[in-house]
Amino acid sequence: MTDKENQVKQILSRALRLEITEITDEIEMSESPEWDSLSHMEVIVALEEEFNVSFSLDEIVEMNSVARIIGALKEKNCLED
Amino acid sequence: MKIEGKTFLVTGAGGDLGKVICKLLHQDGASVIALDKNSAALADAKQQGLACFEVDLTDSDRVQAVFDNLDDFDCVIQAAGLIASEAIFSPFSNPNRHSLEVWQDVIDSNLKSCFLVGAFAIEHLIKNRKKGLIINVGSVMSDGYAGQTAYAAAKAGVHAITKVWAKELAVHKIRSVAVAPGFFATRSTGKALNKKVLNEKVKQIPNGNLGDPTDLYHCLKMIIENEYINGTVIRLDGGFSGD
Repeated sequence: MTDKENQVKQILSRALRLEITEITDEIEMSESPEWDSLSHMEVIVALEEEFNVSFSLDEIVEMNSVARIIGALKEKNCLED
Repeated sequence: MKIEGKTFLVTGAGGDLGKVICKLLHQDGASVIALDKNSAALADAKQQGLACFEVDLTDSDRVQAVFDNLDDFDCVIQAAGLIASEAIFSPFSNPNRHSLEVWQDVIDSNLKSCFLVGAFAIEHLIKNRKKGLIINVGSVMSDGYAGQTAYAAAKAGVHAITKVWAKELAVHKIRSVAVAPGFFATRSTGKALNKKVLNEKVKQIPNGNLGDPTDLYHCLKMIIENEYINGTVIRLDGGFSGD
């Protein structure tokens, strides 16, 4: 895992109140009780600040899993492929 | 006020809190009039032989009809309410803002019903030159917790009218007191919060456990029996809110 991917997981860990070891690529918003619309916006705002990007409402809705968040950041060249 | 021999009107009597309140008041020798909008929820109260009214407490005409059919009562305990959680903004809902329907439903079920029942009860007590007591069940959520726009506003309103009524009604020897429960072991709490989130909340309660409906009853009993408690909101939350 790169340092930047580790930063993403730390952001998720803080917003979802989960241990960083619990943040795996397989986590989906729909299957995680801690990941509701409030904590989702916390994640988005933290990512936007950390990586100096902004996401559209459609992108925000699509970023509903750890894997899709990583993918969205890669599309904006915030993370390396 | 002694409980034995007095008549209590309990709203939300079919809920998990209301059921226990009705049952224990009855056991302590009170006459109980049970109100709930759901007839099936009143089955326990009917089985205990309590007077029951199925009534939508947000409908002024129906509430008036109940009071037109009541002879006498000494105390009203307002435990009717509706918990709902919704973020003020969510990217996942359409529209993205908090639903007006949910707002209105929560305000009506918690605040309008409290106002309506309180107003008719107070009118009845004053016109019959009776001293009495109004106890409103509020919530520590009135402090403002994320996802609780409507519920927090409604319960803060309940606390406010409790204080207003105490000031207006002391001259008539009518007390008005609110209890603000924290997280209690009820079905409505279970519906509002999933098990994992609820377990997290329990960790934040210094007492280390959810409140039990009997804890609420003991608090109500103290309020009923201690005539000097008036115009205040008593927090019953195991130390959760820290006030």
